[in-house]
Amino acid sequence: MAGIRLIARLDVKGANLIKGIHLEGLRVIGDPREYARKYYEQGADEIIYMDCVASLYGRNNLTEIVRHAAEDIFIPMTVGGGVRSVSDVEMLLRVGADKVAVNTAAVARPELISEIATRFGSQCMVLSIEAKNKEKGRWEAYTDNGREKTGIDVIEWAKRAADLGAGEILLTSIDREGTRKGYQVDLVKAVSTAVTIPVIASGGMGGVDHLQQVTEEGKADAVAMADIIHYNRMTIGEIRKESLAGGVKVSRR
Amino acid sequence: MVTLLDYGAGNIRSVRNAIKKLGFSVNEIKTPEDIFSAEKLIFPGVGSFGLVMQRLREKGYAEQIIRRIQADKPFLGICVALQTLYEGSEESPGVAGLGLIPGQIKRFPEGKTAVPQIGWNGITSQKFSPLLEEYKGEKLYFVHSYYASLTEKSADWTLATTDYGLEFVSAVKRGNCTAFQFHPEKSGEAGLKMLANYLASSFAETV
Repeated sequence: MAGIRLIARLDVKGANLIKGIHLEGLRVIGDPREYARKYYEQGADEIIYMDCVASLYGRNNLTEIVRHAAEDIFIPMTVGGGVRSVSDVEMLLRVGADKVAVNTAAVARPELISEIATRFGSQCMVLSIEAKNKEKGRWEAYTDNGREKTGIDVIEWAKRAADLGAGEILLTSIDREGTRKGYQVDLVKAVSTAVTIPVIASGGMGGVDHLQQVTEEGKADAVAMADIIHYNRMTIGEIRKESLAGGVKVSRR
Repeated sequence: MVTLLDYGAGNIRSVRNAIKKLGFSVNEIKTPEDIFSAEKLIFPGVGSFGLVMQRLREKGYAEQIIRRIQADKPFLGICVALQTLYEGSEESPGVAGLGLIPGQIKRFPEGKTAVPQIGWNGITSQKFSPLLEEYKGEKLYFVHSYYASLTEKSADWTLATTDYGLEFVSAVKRGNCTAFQFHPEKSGEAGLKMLANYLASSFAETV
């Protein structure tokens, strides 16, 4: 059986790998290509590249970064940020992305999900949801890297997107992102039990116990991590080893 | 020298990059006959079953692939390419596949496991292949909603199987024709090794 995927998430601004807290207060970490290669060598299952200012400026900086990364990284790459149309997707796939993550443009026009899924297959179409807690058990979807409210309920949106043909959901908790306090397990559980497509938990990974919680209680199919690996708190190899020792069925090796 | 079958359906850059990384140069198809005459052919499947078959037929590639495989020339198919070797698929009812392997491609049942299968999974080899020689049970990368089932009619083709709620055929082989449901070009070092074995092998002997 397939295992839990360990995904390195690289948020990019311009030419730099950056990291924020609650998707804000972005701090420069370094060269995204070097970090991606490092994570590939450490045994990451996938790489996610997110251009965090693309939606704001209506453009995508990632083409060149992805093109170069694809030359020496032979694991799947998901790319998001500023994807607005089928032709944007085509361009990203052409330079070496395997999947695209869409948030803002899909909220504005949900049919885009179907258009992408029909043209390139559901497996290419990752719906990115940025969720913020409203009240107990309810979350609101945000766009533009956590800047804009939508009034849309996260669970309803996840279900609708799955019906429209999304192949996967990248679920980022704005409340937990960058805090190292652990994934928002109740959010992840609510979404992963509402849809049959895989759910990637993102935001809050501070240690292996968090990973264990979100996969066992939250039923996440994959976990995205940033802070913990960018700041060398743990390598992906160490995370994998500890997870396996703790009984989490992570994939590979 | 390796020839990549690009039929304009999408991203085959990863396969191209992997071949380059392994130190081989890539040839392009200019005429349908190049498919038959190529020294080594890699057919990366991109898109739906119906779309791939439509492109192969429009371009006159389908009959050349069949001819090549029947002549037992080196062939490596990836992902949907494996599925096109069968007679048809639930993904695109009414569209005929290449028909080299008996049987229909089916969709994973809903509810049991997440569909599509996106992620890393192992394979269990059922017979010898020089491509899998150094394979030590590493997980490989799969992305698919449809699968080839194990049947008696197609048993002699089964190279490897994988469990995803049910056991399906994750690799097929007959003579010098091999196809993988997983993506060797996205499966890290273990996958690159399989590609390297294909590219390096002399194919002096057929099994």
